[in-house]
Amino acid sequence: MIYLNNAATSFPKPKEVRDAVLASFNGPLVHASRTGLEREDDDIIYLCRTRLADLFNIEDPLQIVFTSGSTEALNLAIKGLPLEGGNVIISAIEHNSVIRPLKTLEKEGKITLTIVGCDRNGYIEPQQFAEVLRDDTRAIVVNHCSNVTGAVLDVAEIAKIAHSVGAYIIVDASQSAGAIPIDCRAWDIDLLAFTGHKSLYGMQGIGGLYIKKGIELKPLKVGGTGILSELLLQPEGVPIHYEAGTPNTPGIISLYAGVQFVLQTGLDNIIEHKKKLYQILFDELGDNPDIEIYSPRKHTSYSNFCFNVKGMVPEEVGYVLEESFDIWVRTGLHCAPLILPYLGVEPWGTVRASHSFFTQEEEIYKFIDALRKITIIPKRK
Amino acid sequence: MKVVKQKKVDDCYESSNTVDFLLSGPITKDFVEHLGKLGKLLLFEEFDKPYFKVIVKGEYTIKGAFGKKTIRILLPEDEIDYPLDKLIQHIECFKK
Repeated sequence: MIYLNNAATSFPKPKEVRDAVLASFNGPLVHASRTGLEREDDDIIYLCRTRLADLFNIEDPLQIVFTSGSTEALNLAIKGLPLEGGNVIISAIEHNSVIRPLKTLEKEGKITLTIVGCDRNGYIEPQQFAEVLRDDTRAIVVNHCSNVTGAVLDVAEIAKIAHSVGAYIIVDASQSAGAIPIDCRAWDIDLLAFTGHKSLYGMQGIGGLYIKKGIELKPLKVGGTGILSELLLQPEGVPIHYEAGTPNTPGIISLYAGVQFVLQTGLDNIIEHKKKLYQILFDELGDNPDIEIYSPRKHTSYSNFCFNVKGMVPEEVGYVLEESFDIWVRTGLHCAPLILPYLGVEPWGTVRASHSFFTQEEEIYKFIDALRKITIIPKRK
Repeated sequence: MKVVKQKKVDDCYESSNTVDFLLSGPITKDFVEHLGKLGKLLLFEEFDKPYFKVIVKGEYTIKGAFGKKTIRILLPEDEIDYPLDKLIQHIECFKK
């Protein structure tokens, strides 16, 4: 099997991740505060926060809250901020994990929503956000990297625009975390949502939200915290205020190993490898008259090759790749419906082939060969 | 050939009215030709696992690949409860 659906969930995982998760079953998973000093170094939950803080350049690791993934993190950010009565700006490249919570607030009459369009590659100039900014704008929620085309936005500039009217900047880093540099301090990010199971190489079911110091959110859930049990209300302070319930320790262990892998491998090396594969795809298919490419050549994560075969619906392309060539891609709307008209791909969407650091060059050539063969389908009618 | 199981394809990205049939045996060229009697058969034998489509005009399209045990049926968008009995009967009268 050639797996080119890493934008959904990365596969394979590094050996270190598999080993760490399997090893976690060798003993009881106990809350760090209940273990002795001899196990102080074993506070994997804190260690994971520190490595994430290194990766995202976050001053205090305790400002990172673990969640079940980006969707929960974005819900916490969006529902936790005082947005009511104001305007929120999003872009056409947002995922439903942003669109649906905000559309719900809009439907309930709590906010107004402004959507900024993108070009045919999913890119948006920061100035486009400035043009729709309003006095009552409370937040800009923006996708750092499109899960459809792989286009990367200039989040630092967009943050400046948001802050110029005192609005929050919420960044969806689902696709970018572990794939391209993120600098929360330098970019002055207020809230950054990430998931563990994509380019951070962890398991599904773990992710997190970085909350800048001084920002208080209404928690999504309250309950047991393992400590301060005498309090009848949710303990204050980050992260405990937002982490009710038994933590997903196996998930955090996987995430820790995944982040360690990314840091030890080096983002530069990861990007270099993916860029090489991306270049091959464009060199081999860029001029193919039967293939329409939507991914950008610049402003990209080099991870997603988004396209259609002319005369075929994307579902069929994906089906044939999987059934006849054992190549797994993703087809359709990719849970990002607003981008479709900008790419000109309504109603069926696109095919997305997304490689990872573990994808081999020969696998990309096999994919290219298969795709060239598939282009005969619409011609034989 | 028997239809062992059928499942509506219901992924969040898929908007078409689609059903998958799990068959009791692998798809062979003879079976594909049997399906081809229902409509127009398109065969792509040059693929790693040959791919086929049977287009039954105004009704549905069947597609699949040799050696696999699943076929996909694309049904009319507006007919959620499209009757599949005749198609199942046709599949199950294939005896080779």
